[in-house]
Amino acid sequence: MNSVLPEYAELHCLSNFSFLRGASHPGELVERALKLGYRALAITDECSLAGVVRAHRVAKEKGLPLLIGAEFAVEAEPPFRLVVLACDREGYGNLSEFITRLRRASPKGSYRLRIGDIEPSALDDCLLLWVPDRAAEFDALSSQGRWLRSAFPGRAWIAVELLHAVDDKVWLQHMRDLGECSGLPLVAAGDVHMHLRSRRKLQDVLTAIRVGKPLTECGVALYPNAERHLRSRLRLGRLYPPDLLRATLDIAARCDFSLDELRYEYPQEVVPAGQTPQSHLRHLTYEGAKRRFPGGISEKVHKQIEEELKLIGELEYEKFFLTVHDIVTYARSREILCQGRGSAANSTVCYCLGITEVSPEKTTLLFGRFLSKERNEPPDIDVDFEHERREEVIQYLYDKYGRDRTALAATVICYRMRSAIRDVGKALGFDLQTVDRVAKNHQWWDARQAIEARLREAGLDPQDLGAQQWLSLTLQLLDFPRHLSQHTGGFVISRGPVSRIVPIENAAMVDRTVIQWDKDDLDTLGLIKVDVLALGMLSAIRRALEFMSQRYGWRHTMQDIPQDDRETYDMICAADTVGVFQIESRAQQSMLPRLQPRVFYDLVVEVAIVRPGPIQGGMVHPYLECRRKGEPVHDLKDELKPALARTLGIPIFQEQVMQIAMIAADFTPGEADQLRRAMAAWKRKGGLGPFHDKLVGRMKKNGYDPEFAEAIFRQIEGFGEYGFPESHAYSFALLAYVSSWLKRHEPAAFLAALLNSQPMGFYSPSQLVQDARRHKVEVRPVDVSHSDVQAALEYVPRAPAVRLGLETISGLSKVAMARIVAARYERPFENVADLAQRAALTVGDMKRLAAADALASLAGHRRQQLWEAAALRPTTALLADAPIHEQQLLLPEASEAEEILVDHAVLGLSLRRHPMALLRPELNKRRMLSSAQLRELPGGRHTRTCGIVTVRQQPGTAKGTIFVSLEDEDGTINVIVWRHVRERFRIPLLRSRLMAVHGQWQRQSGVQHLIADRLEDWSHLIGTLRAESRDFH
Amino acid sequence: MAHWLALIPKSSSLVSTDAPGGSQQQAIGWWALQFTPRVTLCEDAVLLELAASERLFGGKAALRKRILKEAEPFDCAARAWAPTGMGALALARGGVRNGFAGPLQDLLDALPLRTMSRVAAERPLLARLGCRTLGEVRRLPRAGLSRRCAPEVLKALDQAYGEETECHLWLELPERFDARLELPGRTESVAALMQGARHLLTQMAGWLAARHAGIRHFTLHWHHDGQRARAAGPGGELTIHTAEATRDVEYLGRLLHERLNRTGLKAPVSDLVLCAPEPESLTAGNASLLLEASLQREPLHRLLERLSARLGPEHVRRPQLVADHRLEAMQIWHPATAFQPSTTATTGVPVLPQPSWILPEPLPLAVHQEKPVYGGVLELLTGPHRMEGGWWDQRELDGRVIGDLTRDYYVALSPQAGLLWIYRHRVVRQGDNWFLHGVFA
Amino acid sequence: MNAFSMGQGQLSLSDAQAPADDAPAAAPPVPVAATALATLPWQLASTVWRGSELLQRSGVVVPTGHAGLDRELPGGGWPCGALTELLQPHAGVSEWRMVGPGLGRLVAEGGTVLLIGPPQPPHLPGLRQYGLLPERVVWIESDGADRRLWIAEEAIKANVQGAVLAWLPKARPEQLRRLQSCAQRHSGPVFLFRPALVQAEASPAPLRLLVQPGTGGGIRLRILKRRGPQHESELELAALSSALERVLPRRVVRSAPVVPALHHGSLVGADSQVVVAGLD
Repeated sequence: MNSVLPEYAELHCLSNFSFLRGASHPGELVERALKLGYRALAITDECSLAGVVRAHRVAKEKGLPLLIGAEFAVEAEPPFRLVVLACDREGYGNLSEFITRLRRASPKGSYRLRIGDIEPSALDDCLLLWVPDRAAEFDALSSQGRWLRSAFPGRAWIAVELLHAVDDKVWLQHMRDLGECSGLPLVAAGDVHMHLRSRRKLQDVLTAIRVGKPLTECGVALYPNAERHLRSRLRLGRLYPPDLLRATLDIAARCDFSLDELRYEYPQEVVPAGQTPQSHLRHLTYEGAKRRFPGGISEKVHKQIEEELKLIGELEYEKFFLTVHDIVTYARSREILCQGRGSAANSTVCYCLGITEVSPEKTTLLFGRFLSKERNEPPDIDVDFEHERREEVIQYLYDKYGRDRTALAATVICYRMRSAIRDVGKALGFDLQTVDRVAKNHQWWDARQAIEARLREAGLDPQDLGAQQWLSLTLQLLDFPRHLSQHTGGFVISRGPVSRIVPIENAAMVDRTVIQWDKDDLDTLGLIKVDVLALGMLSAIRRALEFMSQRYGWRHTMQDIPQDDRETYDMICAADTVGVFQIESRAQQSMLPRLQPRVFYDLVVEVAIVRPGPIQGGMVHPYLECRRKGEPVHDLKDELKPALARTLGIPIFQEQVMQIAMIAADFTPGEADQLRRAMAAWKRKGGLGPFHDKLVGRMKKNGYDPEFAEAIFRQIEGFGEYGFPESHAYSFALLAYVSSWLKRHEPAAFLAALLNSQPMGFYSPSQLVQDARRHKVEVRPVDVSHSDVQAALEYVPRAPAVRLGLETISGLSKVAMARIVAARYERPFENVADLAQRAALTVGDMKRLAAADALASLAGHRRQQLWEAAALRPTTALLADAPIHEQQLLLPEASEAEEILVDHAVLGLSLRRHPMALLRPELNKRRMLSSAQLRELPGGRHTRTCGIVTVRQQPGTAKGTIFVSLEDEDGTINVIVWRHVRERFRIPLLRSRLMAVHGQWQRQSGVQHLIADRLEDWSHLIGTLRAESRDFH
Repeated sequence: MAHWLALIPKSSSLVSTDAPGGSQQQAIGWWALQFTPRVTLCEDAVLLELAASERLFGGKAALRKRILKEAEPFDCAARAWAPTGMGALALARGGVRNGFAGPLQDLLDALPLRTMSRVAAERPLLARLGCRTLGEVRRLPRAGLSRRCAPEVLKALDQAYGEETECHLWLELPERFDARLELPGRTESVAALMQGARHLLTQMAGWLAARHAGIRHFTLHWHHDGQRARAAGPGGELTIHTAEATRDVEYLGRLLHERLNRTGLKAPVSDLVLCAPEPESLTAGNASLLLEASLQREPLHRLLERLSARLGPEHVRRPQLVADHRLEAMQIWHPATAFQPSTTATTGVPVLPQPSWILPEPLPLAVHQEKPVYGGVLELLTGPHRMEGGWWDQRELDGRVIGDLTRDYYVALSPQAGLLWIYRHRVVRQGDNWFLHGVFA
Repeated sequence: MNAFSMGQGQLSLSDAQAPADDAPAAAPPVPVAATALATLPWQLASTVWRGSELLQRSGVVVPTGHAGLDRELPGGGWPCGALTELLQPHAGVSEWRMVGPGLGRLVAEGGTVLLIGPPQPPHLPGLRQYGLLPERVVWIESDGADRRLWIAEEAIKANVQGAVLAWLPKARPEQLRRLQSCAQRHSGPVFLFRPALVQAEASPAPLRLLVQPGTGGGIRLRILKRRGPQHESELELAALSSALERVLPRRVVRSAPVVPALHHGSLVGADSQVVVAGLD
């Protein structure tokens, strides 16, 4: 009938941030609305604004007016849904606060809104769409309508949602009547759950997941049809009377708010009275400079400080720097070790303020490049704190700025392959066993396409309809947000209540709250966060320094570690780096002998080069080549020298690539910034394509080798997930160096510090202890007569030895440990009974100590200890003093295998022989070489070995290759499993605890590994040990 | 020599093992009293001492045979004969059935620690001291062991080995049967309630067996729980009468079930009490018959059983509603004989209209001048009602797979056939496009 | 609420509610002549039948749920203990609109509805709208005419509480007589659905109706036979379930009278002459 398409704005639309309800990403909805020619689109997720920034980003780019709102299920008689739209900044703040109030009053992920709780003034400057309940009686609706009209005069509508039910026509008439008797106007709306009709299956699956039943049992919990999508205006025109469609435009016109209006304001209290932010920052910077440069501030430094202050001033970031300074100062005052990093951190100002330890004199100054006027983006400073004490810093922030002004950024937890496979499989009604098998067999290394193979493995025909659905829906569900979790430490601190900027909800952790936006969202809107992160290595370094202070009698700090120590670099070059920071991983260890780091900057490169960017860009080998020759690439253009000279002409760091884009491909700073943003997000969202033509095309035009241009582009892709800027590498390299020095020169202190800072790093305490013992560190067992709660150093008879702490014993209470140490401090224990009595230990404690072999100094071998410990019964005080006379029972000692296995069960490590040593005779029979024998073997030989699997990992860059580490009594064997072997021996690869490997032994430039061509699961041999040791648990 | 039998009932998911009396164990215990007065409930098992009864039942072998045969319905998890009760229990757990096959001490010595609960409780200690079997435990010095373990350990060992007399509390048969059962959760479904009731009935049957008796009537009380209980009252009760005394669990259960279905439950039920006040001695071969309150009425199930027998069970059907949007998936017909009625009281009357007849197979309609025809040209009164779903459903319903449906339904008026529920495929296909699916008869 | 009422005698409302010891009621007695209808609670009625059931049952009725029809039927409803023949030009067109409202009450009191040889599979969600609970519906299917007769007879003789509905297009008059005599011992109504063609044949059923589609989804009705004076005129009945009525365009609904909605309140409230007080 309508020859002209009606204009329309959709006002009720859920994205997939209404978890397990909406079936489209916010961006998809925006793009579809645009394509359909909608005049505007509202994103109205259920009690949430979590998806609006993503929608905003796309809407702004493509030019669609976006309305910000939220939907609520209201408990009333009859119940109804309410859509609230923000008219302006004030209304937005009200809505955000409204959501905050509801979310904060309910456990994580939920909310309750009773009609009686709706305080009309709380939603001032908002418009309301009332979605009445179709099953309700007219009278009840009419009284609800009248209430809404009186509570929200002139800003409430009845939303008529016609979704092709048989009673649509009657309902519309009903609503007309309702409008008349309540005085509310009518407006059309779509209750949109997806951007396209074709998302229906996914929407059904989401419902099934939400309901927790297979689809076949969901029944009417599913929607009857697929009408909840963005419908064409032609169809809307046929369905709705024109006045209802026109009303959508009126409402859209009254909502004149954009997220761009949100302005962040820094907290006021970092500036003392009588000071301006500028003067205060200047004052603090020069105060710090005096400390940092006791010999006087050089002209160069002075100039640099002035430049930086000027830039900070122009961008008005003084308060940000002051805020970070405040946090760091607090940490220092509590002797919490911390270190800043990030693009803005490696500046002279930050060095002077004590935020970083990297002296600007030693580094190329990077600051200007990362805090530039063209790119008006918030500065990035992450501060790492000792992991065990970060909580103190967080509590300080809450105390100082108040809970309403401080909140953690969210991390949007999204569906990953396994969780998607699992949830979709269950929804489709596959039996749990099959679902489990497919999901478990799917490994992190598998590409998306590999699900098909997994289905086949589970005995399904991938061509079967059910399997096809499983496959396609899993891929659709992938990357859908599932829930909000807390960011590792990104704090938003503002001048006013945060809840007027973004809703705050409860996190899973008690007393923790998160905002509904993640880091990307904050970046998009230019909101500032301070990253308060936890770093285990800082705890370990502090402890090692304390041990040193104790031993040498004066206080050691990180600055006291000698720089450029040759022995330390020797050790690093030999890849002898178990336990040290960053350069301890398999990939790093295999790089070290080739890269041969000799000075600090080499470590910076080392930390950055074993990353997806340089690897995918193919920069590793050229760099090693240049290093070997000791000269930069021969055809390095002069114009690139400022960017690349320090890395021999090979781009390693993220910012070098950006510079190349600007120098060689004529990118403006703005374009370069877009590129950087696209880089961070392309894996999730795609969109690097346009940059390819721009970058490669222009570089070619400017006379660059096309191959070099393509390599640069690949490197950009590689930076995607782990963009690694030079500034980060500096800070990390510093910790890598310090920890390496400690390992080299204070191995006992370093081991004790690492043990006391667990869990952290790549290696388990057992591996750390084994490594230290191979380095001639004496490690002494846990013993009640000697051990403290934590690992400690002993200096008698030989210094220093590591004594394991009581906390190694699983199940022993902290209180019991403390009492043992306190009682022993008075005088040594005479015997088991004396220990039990003076430390007031329970029989349970005593048995635990005996099981841990910790009574050896009082009672002999382990079974003997247990026999004695068990004799203690809780008795009255009088009887406790009566000596017990019992004939000494001599129990047979347990087998070595049993002792070792009990050690591992109770302590997680053993100081006895390695279990592999026990199996060695058997392994010799099978002609298995030990790691020691392998080390003597020339390269190229075919051989076989066997060991306990300690690590399986696949670097994202390694194209399907798996690195496996095996451990035996002599050390570690590095195994490389290429993709074809991985596929053939998938099950032994996944399941083995003890693995036998046949393959070719390779050694080149100090790197040794076994290239596997056959894997066998020999875990049953561990079983033979167990049988030997009988059932001890 | 004493002659013990240990019977270990299968653990029941319905009743927690520590629930007093409310278990299979109790039922077996009462049942066992017909063979000997020396019956005891010990941990999860029933122990019987049979030496004195051997002669009465025609000798050891005959007695054993008879007990095992009559115990079959209880479907015990394990059993063992032995000269001591505790020994029999340990052997039963260890999977050794005959404790007379060799010296008791040798048989017991080889058993793992878990077979005696007192010893098993000390297993973490004993195993780490190097003991795996009862024999190894006994080799530890007695005095030392008694200081380190609960005193019950030695006592239990001594009793099992026959070195100390066992003393048991013999099970006594109550005068009245009055047993209570806490349901594992609150339930409103008669079927779930019946599960609990059957447990109680089994127990009652054991009690009756020990008395060689049957009953003519019993009463089931149930207790309401939850918010709705206030409106529905504290609970309800139902007394079942039979024409003649019986202890046939199956039969009594069916009667109860039938009556419960009719009564219905007003609120969620949390526990049950079963009372049977007057047992009557039962003469052998006594066929128990139902006596309903009204003799003129034949119970529905009897009628349906008869009809099913004559016509074939698939011809006598009862429906079950399924919440689904698809017309063909909204109900399932079951043979009446296999029917487990569920109370549908919670599913309200649907708000949208539904036809009262459904065609077994949608009927393609002729089209005249673009209008569907059935008993005259149809007038579309209202619609479309769009139904899309079933893409996930590969099950067969009435012999065919429904699969993915996308249909627009209409209410149509036929001059001769009245009000019809017809549909058309949303995506227009070749050929048949309009179908008759139901009638608002 | 009770669906059964009795044709003879009169019991006042207060008597029905009175305690068992027959204490005299204080409430004003209802004039005996006023309605010529008596009411008895179902529980009470069933105990009374033991003695002189033939006599009493002959007058027991179930209100049809169509007020206009009840007015024309002896006793004010479907007769119990007797056959009711419903003749239609085509089977499967208007059965449920006709008998559904009455059956809903039987089911509400614990009755079961036995369907013997219906023309189509019954659709329970639709029957639910008349108050027919799924656990109270049994569908017995059989093709042979004789076999259906046998089933009907067995069902009637079993006297299961509730109603029997049988589609018997081919039954001969003598077979119907046999059913009618069985039906006298049945405590509920028995409906036989038969083709309109047989209206010329003799029938032992005391009540015979001719049922045809009316305008706009209504039902046209002629009472072919009833106890008492011959009824000549045609009735037009409200026959839409409330759910259907709600969604149909007003022009359709207006042309057809409407059945009082089951789930919108009291069924019998509109028809005060059959109001019954139950014991509970």
